[in-house]
Amino acid sequence: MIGYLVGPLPRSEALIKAYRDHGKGRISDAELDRKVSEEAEKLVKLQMEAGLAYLSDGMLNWQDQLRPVFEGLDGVELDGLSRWFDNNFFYKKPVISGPLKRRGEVDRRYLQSGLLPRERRKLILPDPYTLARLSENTYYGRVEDLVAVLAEHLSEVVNTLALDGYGQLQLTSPSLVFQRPSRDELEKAAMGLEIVASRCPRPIMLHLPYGPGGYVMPDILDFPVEVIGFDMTATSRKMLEEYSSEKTVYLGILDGRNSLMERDDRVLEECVSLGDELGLTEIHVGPSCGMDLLPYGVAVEKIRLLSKILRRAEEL
Amino acid sequence: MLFPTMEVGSLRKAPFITGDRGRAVEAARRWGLRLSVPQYERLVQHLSGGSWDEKILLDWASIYGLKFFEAAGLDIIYDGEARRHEMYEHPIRYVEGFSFRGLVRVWDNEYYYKAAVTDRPRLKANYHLEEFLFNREHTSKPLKVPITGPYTLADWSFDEYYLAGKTGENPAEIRREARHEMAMDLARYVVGPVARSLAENGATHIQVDEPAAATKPSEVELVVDAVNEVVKGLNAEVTVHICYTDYSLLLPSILDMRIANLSISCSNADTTSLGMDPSARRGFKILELFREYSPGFRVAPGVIDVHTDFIESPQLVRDRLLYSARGLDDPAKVVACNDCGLRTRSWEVAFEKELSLVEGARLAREALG
Repeated sequence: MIGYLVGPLPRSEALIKAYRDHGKGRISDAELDRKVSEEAEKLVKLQMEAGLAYLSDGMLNWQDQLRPVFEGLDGVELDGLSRWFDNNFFYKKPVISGPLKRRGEVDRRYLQSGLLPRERRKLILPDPYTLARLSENTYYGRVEDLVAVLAEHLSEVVNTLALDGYGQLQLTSPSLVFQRPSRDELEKAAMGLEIVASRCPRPIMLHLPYGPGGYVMPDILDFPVEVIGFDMTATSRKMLEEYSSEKTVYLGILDGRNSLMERDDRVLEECVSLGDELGLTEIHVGPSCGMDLLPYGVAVEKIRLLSKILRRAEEL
Repeated sequence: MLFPTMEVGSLRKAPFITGDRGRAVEAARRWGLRLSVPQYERLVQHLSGGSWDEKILLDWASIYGLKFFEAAGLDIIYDGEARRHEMYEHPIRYVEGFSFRGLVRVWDNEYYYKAAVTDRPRLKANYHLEEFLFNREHTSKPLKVPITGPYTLADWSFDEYYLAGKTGENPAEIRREARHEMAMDLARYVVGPVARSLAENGATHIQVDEPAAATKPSEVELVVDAVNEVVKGLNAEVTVHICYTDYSLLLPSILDMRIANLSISCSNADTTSLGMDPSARRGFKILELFREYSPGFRVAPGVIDVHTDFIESPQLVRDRLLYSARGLDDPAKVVACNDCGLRTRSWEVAFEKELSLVEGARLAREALG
């Protein structure tokens, strides 16, 4: 059994204060960047101590998950707040009114690659289909054209941020499971992933938070990715048991949106029995989604809980 | 009377609540005169004398808030939520069975303190009663007390109680059950008792704020059940306020809410052109959908955009109201309101907007003879 995280981590109160101070002009850009790096270092250390297989820098300087992709592109404006799926969190909606073209460099500060050993480095971005679904598009006549263009820009962001590679690239696709997709929508999502997969190193994980994995089964098993992540707070075990596949399965079994601490013995028992049922040689586990909508202390506690589960699994 | 005018919620903090004493004194005098606040000189004297008792200042802030809406000429008013800082943390602090867990992000670097329910919620004290009783003493106009709705309190909290110990095959179903229990308990044991106690003490209008209503489209029926639990046996006219939402996601379920008025935001998505052309009134298109369902309640479309300093002319307000009346096919079904509270606007801008609201409603009545 291996464990890792699947999304952003929350800012500590000290970092929230640093951002507020920066907003009021009390600290400089460089001072804020330094603070972000210090905080990211603490979170990387925490994940290392927890024995996680892949390491994330926590994405602490991401205001939302879309901005690093759209910033620096012509043809789009980030305008107005929109709800992030069914969360009390809002992202800036990209409004696309012209051809998407890169204006300047990708901002490399979006990944603290120096803190992350290459073979365990994890980079997390939305998949092209989700980027398209969450945008307002008045330029591209066909959605598939927008998905394809976004896949190209996304690949460029991936390859710039992780210049010398990574251990795992995660593409997050809540849009595929938040509502049941049509066959046509599944095909567009697969096409976007194929473009990224052809331009970026493997392995790639596709994570599906905020909805039942049953919405995309069994089609998702043919997607060009190595790992498929399910949100087990929304996916029934029975649904997974109905299919068999060579793909690696990630079980998002710790609720990434609730402060209730799961019991480690029950989680372990559930993972082991599900692993047996699915015939998995290796089980990947962790939270159901990014833990950025938990308070910092709760997220840290959940990482420690994951560590405990992994240790107990080793003892078995 | 057609097109009664109603305020929706908060104002920016009173202009005399500032660290700058000179400005405070000047603002207290200027607004005291402009709003004809009785005995405003006492506040001026208080501020000039260097005495800064917070309770006294908040009392005056409430009075100025009430007079703000009175002077603008609105029919149903409140104090601009002068004593309140926000709508979640304050009520939760008066409920047993909740424990604050820390800061949680809402957007960019904006955060709120989020609590977890750890036991069955029980009301410690009516957190709005003192405020209402004070306000009642300072106006003869009908007051509408805003209270945060049970579904929103549930949606904005963690659950460490209802989910704990629940097991089953389908995790989504378990969560749905837990959320239902939580929202209904908050309606039964917290928000309902607060509303009833306000009504028993003379509140004739209550506004249940449910900004989270459309967060989870699959839970709209729960929003309705929770609101209906709050209004059960309540001797007051109830308005539910839901703003900046795709209202089509809530229909038709919200038609089952047993309420007098539904307050919604429209002007933020509208143009500022005059007239009754659908392209000019695009923010009010949703009313046509409401008409198809013939709601049993009145609709209070926001005819004032609270997110801009642009002052709507009375003629624009008139056209928005007449268009709403046409959209709903019944002018008696329309209440004149803002999109939301005016907290983000200066008092100068907010006051001009409210004057336009009142005058625009008068013009709309006049147009219908």
